[in-house]
Amino acid sequence: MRFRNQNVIVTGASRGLGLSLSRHFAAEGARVVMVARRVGPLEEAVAQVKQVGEAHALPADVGAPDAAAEIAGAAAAMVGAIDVLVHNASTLGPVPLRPLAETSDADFDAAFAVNLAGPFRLTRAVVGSMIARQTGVVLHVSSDAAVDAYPTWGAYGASKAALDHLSRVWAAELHGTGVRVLAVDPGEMDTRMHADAIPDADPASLRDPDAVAAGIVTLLARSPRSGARVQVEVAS
Amino acid sequence: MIAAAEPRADRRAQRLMRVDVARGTLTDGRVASLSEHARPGDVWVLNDAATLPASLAGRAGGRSVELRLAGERADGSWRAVLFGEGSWRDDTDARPAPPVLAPGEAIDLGGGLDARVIEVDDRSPRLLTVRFEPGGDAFWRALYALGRPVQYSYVGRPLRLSEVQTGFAGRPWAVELPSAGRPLDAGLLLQLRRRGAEVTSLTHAAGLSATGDPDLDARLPLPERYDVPERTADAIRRALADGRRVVAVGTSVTRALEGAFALHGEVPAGPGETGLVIGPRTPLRVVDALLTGAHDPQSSHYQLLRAFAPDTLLARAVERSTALGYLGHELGDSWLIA
Repeated sequence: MRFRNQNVIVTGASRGLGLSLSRHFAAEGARVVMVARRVGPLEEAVAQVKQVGEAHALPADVGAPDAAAEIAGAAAAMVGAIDVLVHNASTLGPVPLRPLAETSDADFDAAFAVNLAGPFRLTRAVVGSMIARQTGVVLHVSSDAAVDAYPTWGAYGASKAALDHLSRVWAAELHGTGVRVLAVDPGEMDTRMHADAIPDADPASLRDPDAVAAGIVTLLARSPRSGARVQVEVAS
Repeated sequence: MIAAAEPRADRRAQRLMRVDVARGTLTDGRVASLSEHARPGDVWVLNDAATLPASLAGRAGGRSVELRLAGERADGSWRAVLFGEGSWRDDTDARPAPPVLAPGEAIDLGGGLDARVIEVDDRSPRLLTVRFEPGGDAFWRALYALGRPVQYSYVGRPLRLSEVQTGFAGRPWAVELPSAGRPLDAGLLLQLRRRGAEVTSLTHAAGLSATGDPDLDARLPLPERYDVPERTADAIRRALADGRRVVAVGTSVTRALEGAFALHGEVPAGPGETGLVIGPRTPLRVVDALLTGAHDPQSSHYQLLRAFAPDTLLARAVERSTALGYLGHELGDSWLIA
């Protein structure tokens, strides 16, 4: 029970890594507010997590301009002031993925709205309360596409690279406040998102999101250095 | 003072007048220099309540109404005030009276949300106790989907929820912005800490500033709940023992701390409710100094300021602030009365 009585927000929580992270936090004693766009899948996911702990459904689109104040307020109403904020929601844009030269303005903007602006605004809405309490963790889920340049992963990869840097700047600005800001690279996982991006990948070569989530929760419990970008280790 | 019609784009450009009670002097400055007025060992207490989208449009008794939340009660019901038809553009006092409802009647707020009337106040029938259906998480989801922040007719446009939050908002307990803390950002809080001040917080459910009914307005503030975390109770205990200053950021923090002390003879950790009304003759047992919005004598907050400073000094502060172009009301400039 390494997160007993901790209040946690996980975005993109209805499936994949977000659902696994929610389950692991709840099993560790946290009160978890699960955020996702679509009500039906979110409620199913929350019902699953409730089998191991406390979970709350909060339907919202993190990319929407006014979502941050609503998510921050409703989440704190449900569980109390937030201790851990996990930015897991992200969008690839249209699949099959396409080269930058064929990426529309709208798709490029949408990738940055969900993958970068949304996390920025939500952190801004939540972090002040963490600073006042001199405690808190903000976690950005990144990707190796943020570091390596893969053809057709342009908007996604660029937004994740920017997210990594956003994480580092937050960490620098919050140095000495007691609030830690991190980015994690979960590696290639066997998720719907990965299947959308690379339909012919061999599932056996991919990581189990549940094992990755366990690795992330263990990592956070060890209080890693703020500003770090961590490759998640998975127990084999 | 002219009412601020817009939040300043740069919070720290806000004006700050130091009202020095011991010396009887006034000093004009900027909020950006706030930490110059802090002393090592000070305990600065913030109200970390986030502001709710406390205004709900609905229908009751066949008419359009606005229901404004006034505060949640310990049993999960809410005090709320019903307004007649109108919008943020209308002065609340100029709006038509709302229909008089009876216990058991429901206000239809749309989106599947109802407010069931449990109790109607004897003296002011617009003051209700209601229970929301559905409750629990579904209530919070509906409130954040349907509700809007309480608006001000002197602001030139509807305020968004994000614009009525302080920079350190946590649990959403306030139905209107705890405005004294609005100019404080993370950088300023760090500067206060580097100066040797402790910066800590409590949560106080700051209530409505206007109800549209003069008799009900005269009863404000209604009893409001608060919660003092252990670290804050401890910081205040130590400050009182050592004779160090306690600086309240806002009238809501003052009411919580003085209300708790009036009840318990100390400020214990934990939740409470206070209806303490602070005025010129209220002895201050905990709070030594106050960061507040600049208030005109007509405002209810002004009465609380009279507990901190003599009337002659406050009158000079109003005069000087007006002459210097200070802005008043929720989005306005600041005074530090110390």
